[in-house]
Amino acid sequence: MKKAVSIVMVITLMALTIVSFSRVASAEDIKMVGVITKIEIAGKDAKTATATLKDNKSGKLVVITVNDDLTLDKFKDHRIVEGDEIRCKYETVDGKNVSKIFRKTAGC
Amino acid sequence: MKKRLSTFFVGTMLLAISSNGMAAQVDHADFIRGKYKSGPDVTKECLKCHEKQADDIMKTSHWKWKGPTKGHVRGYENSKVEYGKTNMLNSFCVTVEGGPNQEARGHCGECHAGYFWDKKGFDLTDKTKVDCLVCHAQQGDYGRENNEISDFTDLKKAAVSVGLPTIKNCGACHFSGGGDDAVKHGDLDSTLKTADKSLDVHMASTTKGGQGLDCQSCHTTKDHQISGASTMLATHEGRVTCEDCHSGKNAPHQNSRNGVILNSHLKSVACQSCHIPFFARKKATRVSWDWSTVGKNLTLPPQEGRISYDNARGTYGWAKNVVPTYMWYDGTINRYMKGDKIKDPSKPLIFMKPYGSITESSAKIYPFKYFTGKQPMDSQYKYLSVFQQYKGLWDTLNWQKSLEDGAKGSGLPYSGKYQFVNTISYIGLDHMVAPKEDALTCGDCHMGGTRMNWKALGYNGDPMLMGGGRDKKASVNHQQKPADLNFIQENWVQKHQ
Ligand code: HEC
Ligand code: HEC
Ligand code: HEC
Ligand code: HEC
Ligand code: HEC
Ligand code: HEC
Ligand code: HEC
Repeated sequence: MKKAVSIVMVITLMALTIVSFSRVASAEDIKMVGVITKIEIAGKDAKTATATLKDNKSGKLVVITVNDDLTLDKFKDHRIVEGDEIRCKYETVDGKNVSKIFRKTAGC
Repeated sequence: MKKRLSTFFVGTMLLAISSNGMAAQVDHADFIRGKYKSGPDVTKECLKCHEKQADDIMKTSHWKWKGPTKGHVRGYENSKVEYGKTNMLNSFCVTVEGGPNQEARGHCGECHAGYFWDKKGFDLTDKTKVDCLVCHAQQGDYGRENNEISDFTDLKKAAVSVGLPTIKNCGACHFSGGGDDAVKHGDLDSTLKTADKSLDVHMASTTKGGQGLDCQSCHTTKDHQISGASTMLATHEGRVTCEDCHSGKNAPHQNSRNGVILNSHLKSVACQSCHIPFFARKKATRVSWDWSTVGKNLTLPPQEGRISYDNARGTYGWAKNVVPTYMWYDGTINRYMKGDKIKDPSKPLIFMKPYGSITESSAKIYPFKYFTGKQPMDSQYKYLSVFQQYKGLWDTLNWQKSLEDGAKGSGLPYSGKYQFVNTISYIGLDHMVAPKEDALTCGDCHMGGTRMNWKALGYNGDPMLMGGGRDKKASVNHQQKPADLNFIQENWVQKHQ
């Protein structure tokens, strides 16, 4: 009995650790540097847009959701365009990679 | 113990080098042991073994942002003053000297091969401020933002990864000359990082059909003196020519159809003219910048997919796949320098122009990017103004204040009255050499071809039809007068120092 209890405890503990681990992982900011391959924005008044970045390190394509007005403006007036290299920090919320920082690596 | 260890490391390393020959990349993983909080921390580590390199770099224009003119700028042959980005103006962001304490450097300094030149009074003798990583780091997302190390950078990883510079290292600054990708140069932009042979026969990787050359393959470097002169700047550390590689037994056109005729052009037509048939071939380049529209809240549609109006910076023009402008060039330039008097503000000021003409045998016809600007000048003192854009005009949209603060930083007085003047610059094209199939052919220039403006170049007509080039008297228009530069070279810095 004692043994069984401790096994259950261990399992629960493990489960807890795993859960808290994955929580941490999803709330953590991910940094990447990559080149924009595509910007999708729905019209002039859009409040959200997506940009596809090609990760410099892995070569993988990552779709980033951009909601902040400053970056949206830069998309709209073509200050940030396809081909620009970006330093991006994002967080995964409900399966979407939501941008927290989205800056060009060069330029004024 | 420590000493023995490092001797051991160096010993192993030397072995590694000798076994792999010259091309060996040195692995610094064993040398870079510390924890680094800042760029200078890393430099201090490099200095333990490479103090000479720091001494060398500190003699270069990449560090000083100036250097001796070496006869490059006409009228300055005997100048004792050194010139460069630090004390010259252009028609892009114009100047680094704006602000009571030259605060504009806080932003412009991002393209300095050193740390924290963010205002007046930077110590150019402090070795620990040299930024080795910008030219040598291959990993770790190395980068700076407004003179601070980007918080994306893994300094340790960057330091361990050092190797000889790649296109990306040099491009970190040169692809974004003028403040953004492809702005200043029509032949140096980020598309070179992934170029195939059709874009650049030299810098495309061998897997993409190119030669896999780096910048320093042509810009040969010894003791950190990087060769190659700019058509916009005053100094250089040696010249680069196509003939450095393509001569002697590697001379071009040996087996070409019409090879003899092509070679008869070489004394008058530069390689670049035929082999760089268009510029900005993959990405549009900026072809004009009008500062006079700052603060006017205009709405202008983008050009070639790029922003054409910025309320804080003015109006931009963009163009892609552009035909160059062809001019005589003997390797020296006429250059507007700070304080030169503008003769007639109603006419465009020729900011920089290659020197040469049909009658100078050392000159050849080269291709150039034609760039127009419009920027403030002092209405009373009649020279181009220095103003503070960063942490100045860009935030306040106030010309009067930014001109006053420009005068404070640069020491070039401001009378209180300004106006705008048009400028013209001719910027050299030496990169993005196209495959031989895309070179210009006879009909592009002769027999009605429009590439050569024969009259403007000083010919009486198409030399193919005239039966000879500039060696033949009848072909040359001897009435041609030298172009009026519209400024009086009377340099303020020189006079007042
Ligand atoms: C413990 C000594 C040591 C330290 C510290 C060190 N290096 Fe080196 N490095 C060497 C040796 C030895 C060589 C090979 C000989 C040479 O080229 O000078 C070398 C070679 C190089 C090369 C030429 C690379 C090549 O592939 O040919 C570069 C560039 C370089 N170092 C940069 C740096 C930078 C930047 C730092 C600081 C982040 C640094 N080194 C720190 C010892 C060191
Ligand atoms: C940190 C930014 C930066 C990096 C990295 C950089 N440059 Fe420069 N480069 C400059 C600046 C700024 C100047 C203008 C210097 C002056 O005032 O003359 C310049 C000037 C030049 C010139 C014109 C000649 C001169 O001295 O003005 C050449 C050619 C050049 N660089 C080639 C290179 C090559 C090749 C590399 C890579 C090995 C490189 N640069 C890396 C910023 C950079
Ligand atoms: C503006 C770019 C630039 C900066 C900044 C720079 N280097 Fe270099 N470095 C070069 C180039 C270009 C070469 C020559 C590469 C070649 O010949 O292929 C070179 C070569 C080297 C070499 C090989 C041996 C030699 O002396 O030629 C070493 C070691 C080195 N650099 C170390 C450093 C260190 C340490 C620093 C900082 C104190 C530094 N470099 C800063 C561009 C730079
Ligand atoms: C195939 C040879 C070649 C390669 C490769 C090359 N250059 Fe050049 N570059 C030249 C020549 C030739 C000039 C003209 C130099 C002169 O007149 O002394 C030049 C001029 C320049 C200038 C001055 C432009 C101006 O007029 O303002 C810069 C800056 C420059 N190169 C940077 C680079 C950089 C950065 C790279 C790598 C991305 C590079 N170059 C690769 C041949 C080359
Ligand atoms: C009047 C125009 C013109 C001038 C000037 C010119 N070229 Fe060419 N070049 C061509 C043409 C056209 C071809 C293609 C002919 C062929 O298929 O061989 C060519 C082919 C080449 C080739 C490939 C064939 C070979 O011989 O290896 C090289 C390399 C080359 N040129 C280099 C140069 C260099 C270097 C210069 C300057 C010294 C130069 N060219 C000046 C027009 C010109
Ligand atoms: C560092 C040496 C070097 C310099 C400098 C250099 N080239 Fe080359 N170039 C090469 C090599 C290597 C090749 C490939 C072998 C060949 O075709 O000759 C090549 C090939 C070419 C080709 C043939 C491309 C094709 O279709 O196969 C042309 C054209 C050319 N170069 C033009 C130029 C021009 C124009 C310049 C000056 C702006 C220049 N090169 C400077 C090394 C150089
Ligand atoms: C980039 C433009 C350009 C191209 C392409 C070009 N030429 Fe020329 N050509 C010139 C110029 C400029 C001169 C005058 C040279 C001088 O003054 O020495 C000239 C001169 C001539 C002359 C008279 C001078 C002489 O040497 O007898 C002939 C003939 C000629 N070209 C034929 C050709 C042929 C054939 C081709 C194609 C194989 C060709 N050109 C391609 C620009 C060009």
